[in-house]
Amino acid sequence: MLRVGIPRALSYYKYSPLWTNFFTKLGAEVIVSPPTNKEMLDLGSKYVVDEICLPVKVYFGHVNYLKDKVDYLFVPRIVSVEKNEYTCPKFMGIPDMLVNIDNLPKLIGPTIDLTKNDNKLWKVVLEVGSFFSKSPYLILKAWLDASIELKRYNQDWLNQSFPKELMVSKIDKKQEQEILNIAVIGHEYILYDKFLSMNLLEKLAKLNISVFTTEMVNQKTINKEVSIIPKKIFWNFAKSALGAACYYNKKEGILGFINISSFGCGPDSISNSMTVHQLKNAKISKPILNLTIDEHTGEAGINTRIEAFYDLLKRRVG
Amino acid sequence: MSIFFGIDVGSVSTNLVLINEENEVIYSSYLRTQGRPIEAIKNGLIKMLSSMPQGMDIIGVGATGSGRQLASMIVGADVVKNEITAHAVAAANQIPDVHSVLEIGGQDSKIIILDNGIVSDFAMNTVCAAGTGSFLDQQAARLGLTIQEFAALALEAKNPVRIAGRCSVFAESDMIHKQQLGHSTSDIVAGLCQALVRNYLNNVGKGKDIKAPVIFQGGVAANPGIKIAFAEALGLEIIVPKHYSVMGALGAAILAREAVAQNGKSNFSGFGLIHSDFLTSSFECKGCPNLCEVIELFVDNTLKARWGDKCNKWSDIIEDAI
Repeated sequence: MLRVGIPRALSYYKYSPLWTNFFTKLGAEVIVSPPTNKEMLDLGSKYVVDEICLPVKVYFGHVNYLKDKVDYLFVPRIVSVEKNEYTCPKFMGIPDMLVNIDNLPKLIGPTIDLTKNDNKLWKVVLEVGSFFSKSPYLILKAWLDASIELKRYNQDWLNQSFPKELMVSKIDKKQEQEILNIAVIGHEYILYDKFLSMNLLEKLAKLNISVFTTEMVNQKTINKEVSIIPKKIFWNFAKSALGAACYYNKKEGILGFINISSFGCGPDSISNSMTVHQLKNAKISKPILNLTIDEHTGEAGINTRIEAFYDLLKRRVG
Repeated sequence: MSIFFGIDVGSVSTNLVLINEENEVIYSSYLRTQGRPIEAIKNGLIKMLSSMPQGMDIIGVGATGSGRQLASMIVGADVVKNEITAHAVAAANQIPDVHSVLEIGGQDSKIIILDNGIVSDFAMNTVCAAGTGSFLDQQAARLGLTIQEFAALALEAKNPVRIAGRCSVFAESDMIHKQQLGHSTSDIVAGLCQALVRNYLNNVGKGKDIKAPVIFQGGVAANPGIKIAFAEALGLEIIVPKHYSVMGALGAAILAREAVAQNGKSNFSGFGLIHSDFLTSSFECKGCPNLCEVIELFVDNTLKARWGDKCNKWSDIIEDAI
């Protein structure tokens, strides 16, 4: 049985049910790297180019963990997943940057670029599937079955809950303490990686703070919210972040925002400022806490900010 | 007389404050932490106890600052609070209608916006500590000046030079270039004050609604050069409160008074521990690839606390034992 390695980093958090089910249904053994740890970060930093963001460094650590354990590594080059919108320059360069790692297994690194034509995706699916099966029928069937799993995963979010795969801790509802609702805006590969986010979601759950995220807002609402911006936002994530933030700002019961991003993120440097600007100029102004992560392992800084934000929300509720 | 004790263990300074029931400061001290928080806390306590008048009875303790957990372990605090809340409480106590609080400490800088005495917005510096007190300290030392002389020089400047303030490494090389061109030290020092203020307002203060009354506090408020630079940049009057350097400790003391009033009792265990031997050591846990650095606190050679592990494997053992 062929073994396919998938790094638990970056787009994994968005597409994991699709990828893992697709390969499994084609008869491959899927090996996903374990949750991020310090060793992965250290190894990742060693192989990656300087001046890159923390999530990409970590991605390299995951690749390094998998390289001796698999026959193939699935490292897609995701350029665009929506018409006239792009992911991030670093996502596009990943398969090229990986050559720095010695003794890599064979890479499956298809280019996924849906800027112009949706039909291209089928070609990519058949190309990737051909590593495991000669039958286009079986490949497409595996793809469609896996897509259903992805739909369920996304539906969990749209039902205002976290997919079980992400193992986000729940608030203990038995407590009599009041629950505070906030929106957390940030890339899913930071938010759901407990190492990168320094356990942000767990820390908030302990404080009885219920979290609403970008993924919980449907695309239609996001597109409607961002239509107030005169120019089209072509960074896919920036669009979602801004749209979700505007939506949550109007939504009653959401008391404030936490913006989490990694130091040196290009798209975020624009989307964060735009989001803050839009929120500040809105009729209702809700407090925003900006958190920036990098290689710091001391948690005192992030704890202080969360604690202070909690005090602020508590005092405002009265 | 019943009094309350607040302690703020920061990266650069360890501050102690005693207040009475009316929130009036009756004792305050500002000590350098010098990277040895335990010694700083012990020295501060010994100094405070020796100068405390007879008949004073400490009935509540509050701790804040980045070393607040450590301080709380040594003195047994009733309330352990983050610096933002502590600073906001103290500012609102000193100037009841305060709107904006600018605070620059050793490694942190923050801005707090209050509405009717309640925090409505705040921000702290992000991953970088450029433009905080320790940078000024460093540059003063490089110029061979004490921080007091540095502040005095800034006031003498006639034409402050423009210095890049975005990053302390860039600022330093820019300063060296300006020195080599022959600019006077006072102009460079004043330029540095302006750079720090510009950096603060563009980062920490970005998008914040800064309105009068504005309070400037934290150790750096001792530097009139920075105060003037703030006043010029904002076009507002800047108030430096009397106890500007110990506002965190003052806030902690006020919070302790509130906590004791609410709980009706205090956890304060007396100062018996200050003559004990405190020792910290650390080891790298090899239990998983996270390789956490676990810190152990020994009091008179008995293990009293552990922290720093992500999974609480080590800290739980010790808590169970106690």
